[in-house]
This record gives sequence, structure tokens and C-alpha cells, in this order.
Amino acid sequence: MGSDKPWERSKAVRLTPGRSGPAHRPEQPGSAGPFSGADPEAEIWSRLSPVSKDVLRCLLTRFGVHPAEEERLLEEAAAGCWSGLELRAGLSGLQAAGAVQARLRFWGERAVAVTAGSYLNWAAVACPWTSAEEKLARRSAASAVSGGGALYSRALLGALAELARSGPVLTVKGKLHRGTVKALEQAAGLNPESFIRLDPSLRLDYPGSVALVLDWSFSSGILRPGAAWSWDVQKLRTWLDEPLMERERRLFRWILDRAVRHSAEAAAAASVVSSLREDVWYSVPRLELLCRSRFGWPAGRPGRDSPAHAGLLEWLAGCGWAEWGETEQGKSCFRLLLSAEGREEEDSDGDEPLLLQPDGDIWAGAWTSYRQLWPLELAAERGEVRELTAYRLTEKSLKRAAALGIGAGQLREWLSGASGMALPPPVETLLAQGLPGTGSRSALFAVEESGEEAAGLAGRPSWQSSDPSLTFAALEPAPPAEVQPGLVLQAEKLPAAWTGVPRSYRPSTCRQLLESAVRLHIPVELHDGESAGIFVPLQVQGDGDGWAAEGFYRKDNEARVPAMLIPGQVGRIRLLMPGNAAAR
Amino acid sequence: MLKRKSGPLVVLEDGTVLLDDAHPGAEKAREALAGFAELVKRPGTMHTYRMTPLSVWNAASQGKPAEEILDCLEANARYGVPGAAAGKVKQWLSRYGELELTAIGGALLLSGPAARLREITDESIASWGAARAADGIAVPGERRGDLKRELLRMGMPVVDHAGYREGEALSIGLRGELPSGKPFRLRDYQRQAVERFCRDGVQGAGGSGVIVLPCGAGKTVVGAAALARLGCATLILTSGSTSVRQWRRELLEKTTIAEDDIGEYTGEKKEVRPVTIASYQIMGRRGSGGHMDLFSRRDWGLIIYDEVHLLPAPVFRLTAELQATRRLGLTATLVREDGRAEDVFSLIGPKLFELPWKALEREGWIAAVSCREVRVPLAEEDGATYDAAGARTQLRLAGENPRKAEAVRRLLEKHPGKPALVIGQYLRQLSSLGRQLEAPVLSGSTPPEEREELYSRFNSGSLPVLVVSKVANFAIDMPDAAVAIQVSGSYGSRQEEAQRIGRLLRPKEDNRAYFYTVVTEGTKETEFALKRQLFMIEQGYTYEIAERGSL
Repeated sequence: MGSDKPWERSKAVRLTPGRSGPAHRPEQPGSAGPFSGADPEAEIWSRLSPVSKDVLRCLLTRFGVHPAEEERLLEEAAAGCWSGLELRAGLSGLQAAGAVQARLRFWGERAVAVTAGSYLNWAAVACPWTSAEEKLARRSAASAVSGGGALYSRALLGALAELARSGPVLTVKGKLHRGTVKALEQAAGLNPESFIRLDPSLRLDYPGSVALVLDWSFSSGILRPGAAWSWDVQKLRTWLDEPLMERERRLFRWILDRAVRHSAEAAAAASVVSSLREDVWYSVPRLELLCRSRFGWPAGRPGRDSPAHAGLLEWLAGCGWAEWGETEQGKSCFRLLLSAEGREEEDSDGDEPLLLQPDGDIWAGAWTSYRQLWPLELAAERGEVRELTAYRLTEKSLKRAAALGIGAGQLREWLSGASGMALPPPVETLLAQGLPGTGSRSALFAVEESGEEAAGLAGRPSWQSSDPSLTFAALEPAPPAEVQPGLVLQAEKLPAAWTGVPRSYRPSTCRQLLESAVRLHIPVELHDGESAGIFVPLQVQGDGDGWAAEGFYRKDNEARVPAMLIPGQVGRIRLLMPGNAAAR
Repeated sequence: MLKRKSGPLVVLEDGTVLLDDAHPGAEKAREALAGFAELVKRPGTMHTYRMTPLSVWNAASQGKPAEEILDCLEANARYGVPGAAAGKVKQWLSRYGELELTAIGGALLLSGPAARLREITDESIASWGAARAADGIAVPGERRGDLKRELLRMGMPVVDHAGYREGEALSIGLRGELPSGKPFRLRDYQRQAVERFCRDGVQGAGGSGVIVLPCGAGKTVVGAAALARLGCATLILTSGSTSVRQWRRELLEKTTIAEDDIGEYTGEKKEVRPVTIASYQIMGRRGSGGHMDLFSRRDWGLIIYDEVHLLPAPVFRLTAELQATRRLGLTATLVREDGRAEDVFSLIGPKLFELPWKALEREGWIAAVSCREVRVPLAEEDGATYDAAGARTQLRLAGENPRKAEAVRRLLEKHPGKPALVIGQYLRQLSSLGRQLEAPVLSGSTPPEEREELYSRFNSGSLPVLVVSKVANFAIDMPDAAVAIQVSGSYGSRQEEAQRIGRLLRPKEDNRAYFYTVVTEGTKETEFALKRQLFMIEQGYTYEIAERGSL
């Protein structure tokens, strides 16, 4: 320790400003350092055609990271301004550019998906905030009302200690004992099921909050599944030693990643959250509106009525990473206290020492190193986790410590070192009475052993992820679907002139041309004097010269203007094949 | 918890504030904190304060807005101010001033936001003999005190703008020169305190309330100045016959009042004059011997409650009916050990003025006191008895520990020539100490004349050591006392500790004084000692601990 004065170590954390958009990359909780580097998604995006961009947007907003059957995706995308063949070509372009993965299902059906790891980056480039939107959503001043309290990692720390105290010993069915589950449930607190994907095999056996703890423990590698679960002390040590902000950010990203995997709605909420700036207040109704407009959610009451959106925001506030607030006018606000990508410059030397109180209480600050807290979690009773959390050694807690092989000498030495203070008489008395002088130096207590805890390391992991994106990745890759308009034309035996320079035709020929366009799912290009437009016919009614074509005009490659075309409105016309730029 | 900076305070969601006493900014933060929070314990270097509705309303009554409190917390908070805590402070403060009591003709009108008035149940309204009116609740004048007290308990403090009767006029002023020839004028803080009490008009919050000043800072002078400013018949209630006589002396010395205009109302004398000074003892007397009619024997324009923290229950009851009379509470320690701080707030009035003790010490208006806790072992012969005894007997055994005598003797030897008081709770212990130290013992049974004589000898320097019981806890003016050794006390009484230290605060030549509290180590007494010291710690005093053998 550098100093025994807490304030000297309570340096303000300086953070680089959060990015306006996320550069998010999922990671395993135990992996080192956050992702950094250029975003390949942005580069690919810049090369995509407008129709490919629209198909991708549709995939992201309607399906999230869940695989979409191609036909279903094209159906959904058809609500836009493109024709069927254009969309198919756009989808093909996406696969060719590497934006989506295509797989063949067992019955030959093609499905496409973005990888869970790329979702937030795709959402950031495909559905960015406009500056006007951000301006509308920001609030210059608000007062915090709730949130920003105990960090979720402290709950995880407590849950790990519960697991350590229990072994964890499993039942003959390979599950945790009921008492352990109950203790874990108490330690873990929040239940995230409404917006976080939890492994179904864990979810079936345990309450949501416990399933999340186990899911995280396995994903981080701290706990290893198998016939008997075992500890990776090295991984545990790495996690305990992480600087606080880095650990929280990593956990934050992991939670967002799990939200992305839950549902399209939760993925959308995660995407909006990941684009929020740190320490900036946002209007909650505006965030809701943004989600609605960006991701096409059904209309409803503004406010916290979307389960995933509301659940995620509540969770983040409950994890101590965000705060709810109120403007002077009483409007609800939300702000992140850390962003997924902010990088603190210094927080590694900011640990606070333990404070030993004369009455025997041991107080730990919010920034006390987890390496110091871990032995306390194992050997002491903990009060409510607050800015200063009180721990107390009791006869009961010391008995449990003794069962873990922790001796009085070890505890005494560690407590003196961690606090830099002499032990108060009540602590000395308890240690003298309640513990054997020396313990077996439990690796879990000391977290100092090199290598791994060998006990229980056996067997292939019984826990396997059934993450939809992983299941999808295991399927046979589908080759890019080729869209060759020339072949189509040949098969249909259509005149080549219909795709060449726009010409004037008789009404009956116009009808035939439009009927072909409907069959081929392609648009037509219309010229009337100086003006030109693209019309996507959906249906042609009537015959001879008295026909009417129902469809829509495409405006600026974005908008769809429903219209009915009749013979007198058609000047020069041609079929517009995918890849043929419209003549203007 | 994610954001932190270097600050001495840790603010918790429930309104608890922890002060890191070892932080360089602790002193400044403590002074600010004392204005709106109360110290509840100090187990180590982290002192625990709590913000309560009452502590915050007392701050509001001194003109502190929520922003000032929150800014102070925010500026000193290590992890920021949790939204829930800030919300509580805002909510409490928003309640203060919402309900207002005004006089309309002979009746009173309680007005405020409709939603708040609706929270008051019809049962409560009926119990006050009140009725809902178009613009509020019409309340009979005689229920003014009951209404304020009950609404405060319901979390709705009432600002009383209903005004006061003028009372019988009295011609009186402050002297510019004392009989000794020394010039006399109010100190700035005394003037501010009087201004706050006497302010009128739109602010209207004057006329009833409590002035909190350390012992020796001239509370009696503030009372006299208020009396002179208002110029009306005044009833002064104080703690005992000795302080009755001290008030009389002060008034004669510092004001132009005629001797015949001052009456004493004690066990010995029953004079009712334009300024009458009575003791709580006689007012609190039950049955046919009671003297509560004193409140109605004259048209008092002002009642002064000296040592208001001692106000007995019968006087509280009567005070509820005297809300149309101006009421001034004076105290050094607005700490009610009986938990009736809310009654002081609603019936006497809110805290109107307070100065931190250390601020006055810095200005040189009171002496600087070094506090030391001296721990002595329990006498060996009492060990077995102590272990087998019940809690009350244990405390008594620890308090009367005969080994304390040696410690007292050594402490007195450390301060030769300094007038010293030995203060205790148990008469047997005090008699024994008196014999060993060859010093007279002054207790409740000492006749008034003998008391006066002892005080006089002590003040003149001819009596170096005086052993006193709890009769000397309050309102005894012994300006030269420079050393006080507390050998036993009443459980964990914070105000007793502060009042005993208060005996030393009168300015002196070197302006230094020494307070020792001798406790038996490893017993209940050390636990109570920690609690007793809370008020002084809150005021920024520190206690050095001297273990056995270190004297």
C-alpha cells in the first residue's frame, strides 16, 4: 500500500470523453483488456449499396442477432421502398461483403444473421443518432434520484464467496444444493431475465439471478464446469486484481452482450444504451421514442413501458452504473456513470485501505481492492453493501473461515497489512478464541498460489452454451445466393429493349411490361418530359388498354409513396434490373 | 460509488453521513455538518452523523436552503451524494414553510397547499376543535400549541406567523457602562442572536425560538438584551435558585431595570414583579403545591426558558397554551436526552441562532479546553462483585471506583494554583474525595447561603479545589475555574458532559482550561463515556486517551 490515508488514495478518476457511437466488441469476461482497433463494420458499411443497407437495417431491428429465414427477412424488408428482386440482390450483396453469415438449415432453408459480437457496431453504423436527435434527448441539468449505488461486481464477489464456502459441492444430479442456491440468490440480488439471455440449462435449474452468476462465473473461467465444478484460482486472482473501473466496464460490456443475445428488442435497447455518453443526462421518454423510431417498436405509452428497455435501464441503475434523475420540471432522466468504452487513465493506485473500528467493525470503502475484500467475504459477516460497508468477525464467521482452512495467524497478518492499523481488542479477542492459530493456507483465501486449484478438475464441461448465434454458427455455411437478372430475362423471354433505353409504348405493351415487372419483383423507370421516377408495381388489374397498376413510387431510395398508375400517366418506360442505375 | 474524489464525508442513501476525522478537510466539514446533522456515534476515526427531518428543519429555520446543504455535502462527499439522500433533504426542506399559521380576528387560520391540508385527518381537526374553511383550517387560538406539536409529529412543521401579545410594558434598556466602570456593549454574535429573535414583519419567524450558544458565551446577556429590546414584563425560568440569583445579578449589572422591578420566585421567595425569575424546580412541583398559575399572574410579554434542554414535562404542557406569548429558549446544548427535541421545536420554537463552540474559541470569546479521558483499572476488591452485578450496579461500581482518587490527586498536582472543580454523580464518592483532598463538598443539600459562600471563596481564589455534585452542572458562574475533573456521571448524558465542560469556558487570563474525565477501563463506564463525548466531538473537540500509568 502506498499510504494509510484513504483520501490520499482517493484520486479522482479522469476519464476520456465517451465516444458518440460505440465501438463495441463482445469479449469473454475473463479476457484481457477491452477491444480496440478500427471498426471493420464501418468500412464494410461504406461499401454497401442502399438496398443492402436497408436489408441489414431490417435484419438488425427485426431480428437482432437471431437468425432470420431469408424469405421472412425479405418479406419484412419489402415494407420498404425496394422491389423483391432488388432486396434479394441486396441480401446477396450483404453476404458477399461479409456483413452477414448465411447458413443452410437441415431442410435446405437459408438463414442469415449478424454475429452477436458485431451487433452493436452494426447498430451504431446502421442506426446512428442524428445530432438533432441527440440534442432533443439531452438534458442540461437534472438531479439524481436513485441508482448509482452498490456495484454489481460486489454482488458477484459475495456470490463467489458463497460458492467458495459451499465448495461448491454438487448433488448427485450435478446441481448446487438448495441452501447454496438460496444463499446465492440472496447475494446476487437482481433478476435480469426480461432482457438478458441466460443459458437455458442453467435457467432450468436455478433462479434467474443465480443462473446469471453461474453463467458469468463459467464464461469468465473463474469457475469451471464438469462432473465437479472447480476453481481457476489464477482467473479469480486476475479478476480480483483488476482496477475497479476496468472490471466494471468489462462486466458492463458483458451484460450488454447478453442483452443483445436475448431478443431484438433487448438488442435494440442495448444498442441505444451503448451509444449514450457518460455523465450526460438523457430524457427517458426521448430514449424510448428513439428506440421506437429506430427499431420499429410498437407504439405505446411513452415512458418505461417496454420490458427490455425498462429492464435494462433499471438493471444498469441497480448495478451502480447509472442513475435515474429528474429535471426541475419533474421529467424523468437517465445517465450512465460509465460507458462501455471510456478508458480511465488512472485508477490502479486508488485502492482504499480497510478501516478497523474500535468496536471490532471492519469498514471497507467502495474503492477498497477486491483482493482485500475477498478474505473478508470469506471470513466475516457483511452488512449492507454501501459506500462504506461494515464487515464483522463473529464466532460463526470464524468457524466458516476455519472450515476453509483459514487460521488466526493468517487473518491477523492479513488484517494488519490491509488496514495498516493495530487490531482492535474485540478482533484480537475473537481471533484468539475462535480460530486455530494456523490454517492450511487455503488457496482460495490467499489467492496467492501459482497455478490452479487441482481439486475437482475433471471431465469435459457439462455446461455448454446454447446461444442462438453459436448454434447458428455450427450449421453448414450457405453459398451466396446469386441473383442474375440476365438469366431471368432469358427465362422469361422478354424483349431486351425493355431493359434498355426508356421508350414510349402502347398502353397494352405497357401493361405487359408492368406485368413482367410484377412477376420478376423489379421496378420500372418512368420518364415524363423532364422528370423521371421509379415505380415498383405490385399488382396490375384490368386488361387491354384499360389497366391500372397498383404499387409505389420510390423517393430518394428511402421513401415509399403508394400510387396507382394508369395508361395516360406512362410516358417513357423501361424495366429496371438490379445493378442498372436509374437514368435521371 | 463509481465516482469519487478526495473528501472527508461519505454520504449514505438513508441520510447518514460519515465524517472521516483523519481527513485534512474534516474540521471544516464538521462545522458545516453541525448545522444540519446530528452526531450519533464515533467508534473510531469515522464519525457517524445523521440528517433527520428535525435537524434539517432547524437548519431551515436559520435560513439554510436545500441547495446550501446539498452543496456542502456535494463539495465534501467522497462518493457524491446519493440521489435518495438528496431527495430526502429536499423533501424535508420543502415541507418547512408549507403550512403557515396566521391570525384572523380572534381565531387562527392554518393555510398551505391543498394537498397537504388534505393529509390532515378529520379526526385530528376535530380533536383541536378546528374546522375546514375555504382557504385552510380554522383553529381556535388556545389550540395553537397542540396543533403545531401534532403536525410536527406528522412531518408537517408549521411556521407560526400568528403574532404575539405585547404584554405589560416595562421601561428598560441596556447599560453602556457596567457599575464597575467598564464599558459594556453587546458582542456581534449576541446582537445577531437578538436580531434573529426580535425580527418581525414579513419574515415573521422571530418571537419564538431557541438561541444556542456555548457556556460562557453570554446567553444571559442575550436574554437581557431581548428583554430590553421588547420592553415588556418577562418571566424567566431557569434551572435552580443559584441561577435565579445569577440572573438577578446580571440584569441589575447590565440593564437599567430597577431592583424593585425584579422578583424571585423560588422555594424561599414568592415575588411576582415585572421581571420575575423562577426555577424549573418550583414550576414543576406537582399537586396543590404547584405554581403554574405564575404564568397567568401577570400579562407577560416574554417568557425566557434558560437551559431549555431541561424544561420539565409540566412546563411543556403549559407552554402549549402560551403560544401567544413570545418565548425565548436559551441553551448550550440543544440535546434532549428524553427525546423531546420535537416538543422544543414546536412549542418553544425552532433553532434561530447557533454558533459553533470552536468558532467562539477562535475569536477568544471562550477559553480553549483540552479534554482528556483518563482510564484507571477497577479496584481489585471490586472485580468479582462487578462481574456478578447487574448493569446498574456495574455502572455504580465503576463510577465509584476508589482508584479514581489517586488519579484525581495526580491530576490536581499537574495544575498547581489553578482553580479546580471535582465533579461527580455519587455523594458517597464525593464525600470520600472531599475528605482525601481536604476540599469542601457542595451538593443539593448544601444550604443556599453556604453555597454562595463556597462559590464566592472559589471565585476569589481562596478555595483552590471544590468538590461538586450535579447541582453544579448548570448555570453556575465560576469564571475562574480552569480545571474540571469528572469522576462520575449520569450514564451517557451528552448534555451533562457539555455543561460540565461549560463550567470552564469563561475567558481567562491565558484562556486555557483542562477537562479530565476519569473512567474505569474495561467497564460499562468506558462505553458510556464514548456516548457522553458525542456532543463535544460534534463541536470539534477531541479527547486524548490516557491509559493507566501514563499520568
